[in-house]
Amino acid sequence: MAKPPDDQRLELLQGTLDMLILRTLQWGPQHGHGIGLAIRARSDALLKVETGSLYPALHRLVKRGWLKAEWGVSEAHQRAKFYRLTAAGKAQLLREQDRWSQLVDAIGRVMNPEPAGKE
Amino acid sequence: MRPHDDDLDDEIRGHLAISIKERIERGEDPASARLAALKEFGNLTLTRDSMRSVWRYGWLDAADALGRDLRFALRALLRARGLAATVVVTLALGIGANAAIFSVVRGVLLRPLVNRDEDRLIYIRQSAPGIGAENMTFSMPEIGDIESRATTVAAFGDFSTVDFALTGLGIEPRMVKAGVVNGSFFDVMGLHPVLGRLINRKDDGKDAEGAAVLTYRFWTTALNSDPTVVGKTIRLGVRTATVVGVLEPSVPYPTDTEIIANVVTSPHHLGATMVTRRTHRMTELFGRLAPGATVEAARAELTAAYAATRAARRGRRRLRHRVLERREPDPRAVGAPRRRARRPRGARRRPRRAAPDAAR
Repeated sequence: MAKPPDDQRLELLQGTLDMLILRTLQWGPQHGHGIGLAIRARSDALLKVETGSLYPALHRLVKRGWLKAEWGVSEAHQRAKFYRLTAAGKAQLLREQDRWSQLVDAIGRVMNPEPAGKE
Repeated sequence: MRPHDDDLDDEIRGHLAISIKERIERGEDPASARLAALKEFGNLTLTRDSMRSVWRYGWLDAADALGRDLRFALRALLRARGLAATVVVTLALGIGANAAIFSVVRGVLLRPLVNRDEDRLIYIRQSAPGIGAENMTFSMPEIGDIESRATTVAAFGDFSTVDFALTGLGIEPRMVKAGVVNGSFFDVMGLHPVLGRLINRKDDGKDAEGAAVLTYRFWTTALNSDPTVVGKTIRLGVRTATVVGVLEPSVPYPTDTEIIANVVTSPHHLGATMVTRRTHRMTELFGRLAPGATVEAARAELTAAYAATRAARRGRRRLRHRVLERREPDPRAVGAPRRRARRPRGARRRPRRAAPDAAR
C-alpha cells in the first residue's frame, strides 16, 4: 500500500477521534500504538492520529467510563496498556455513530443539494 | 482511578518500545528505528502533560463534539488579538522538562548520552498560543535580544539547517544536509571530536575561513572512516571550507545532518534577511546553564527578558507609526497637493478593533 505523503493526509476533524477510538476497540482490546495503527490502516493511511492527541483521548475515555485500561503483554512480548470498551462505551459508540451519520447527511444536503423539482 | 505518573511513563515507554521493535522487524537498523519512533511520537512532555491534565481538570461533557467546534470558532476570534507570546525553556536532551521523562527517552535509547553534563543543557523555543504559533524557532535578531539579557545562561549555541551541494573528498558530488552553527554550539552541546577539532569561536564572523565538521555517521558510511580527511578542502555550493574534524557518535540533535559548518559557508546566513529580519525564524537555540543556575531560574529570567524586549519593541513601533502619520501631508493644509475624488476622511481606515471589542 503506497503511503500518501504527509501533506495529503487528513487531520482529524474536531470531535471525531473519540468515536474512531471507540469504533476501533469494537474489534477487541488494543494498546495505544495498535489503535493508532488500526485507524491509519483502515483509512488507507489517509487519517493520521497524532500521538499527542491519541493518548490524552484514551485517558479521557477511561475517565468517562467508556473504556477500561489494563496492563498486558503485546504480540511482540512487550508490556503495554490495553484498552477495551465497557458497556457504557458501547452505548456511547452507538450514540456517536448515530450523530455522525446525521451530521454527514446534513452537511451533504448543504454541499450537494438535490436539484429542485426532480423525483 | 487516576493513574500514577509512573504509569503514564510506562505507557509511553511501551509505545516507543513496540514501535521500535516493529521498525526493526521491517528491516531498519536499531539506531535509526529508535530515532524514527521518537520523532514520530512527537513531543513527549507535552503528551504526558495532556494525559495528566485529563485527570486533573473536569472535562466538559463528552458527547459535545459540536461544542468543540464552537470553541474552535472562539479561538479563531481570539487569534485576532495576538495573545501573549512567551519563551519556552526545557532541558534539551530530555526533550522535555523533567528527569522522569528523560529517563523514558534514555531507557529507550538504551545508551548513555555522550554530551557533557547534559542536565545543564537547555533548549529554548518561543510560543504565541494566541496566534496559533506554538513551539517556534528564533530569528537571529530575537536571539541577540535574548543573549544580551541572560545571566543564568553561560553560553548560547545556535543551529540552523541548509542544503549544500558538496564536492570534494573523492566522492560523487551530492546534496548534503548541513547544520550551520555559531562558534559556541559544540561547547554548549558538550560534544567532542574523534578526529581534529570542532567548530569554535574563532570560526565566527564573516571574515573567518570556511570550516566544516563531519558527523560520525557520514564519515564512517560515505568516507569509509578515512583517517586523512582532516585538512582537506571541500566545496559547499559557492563557498569552500576546510574539514577541521569529525564529531563523536552522538544523538543527532536537533536534526540529523551530514556535516556541520560555520556561518561563513552559507551566503544565506550572512545575508540581510537572516541577520536583520525579526520574522525569519529558522534557528534553533540552546544554552548551557551558568554555574549555580537552575532550569527554573533560566526559565524565569528568559521569560521576563523576552517579555521586556517585546514590550520595548511594541513601544518603539507605536512611536514610529505616530511619527510617520504626522509626516503625511494634511490635505487641508494650504498648498498641500490635493487629490481629486478623495474618499471622505475616515472611510479608508478599517475599524480593525471592532470585532475583539464586541466579543468582550
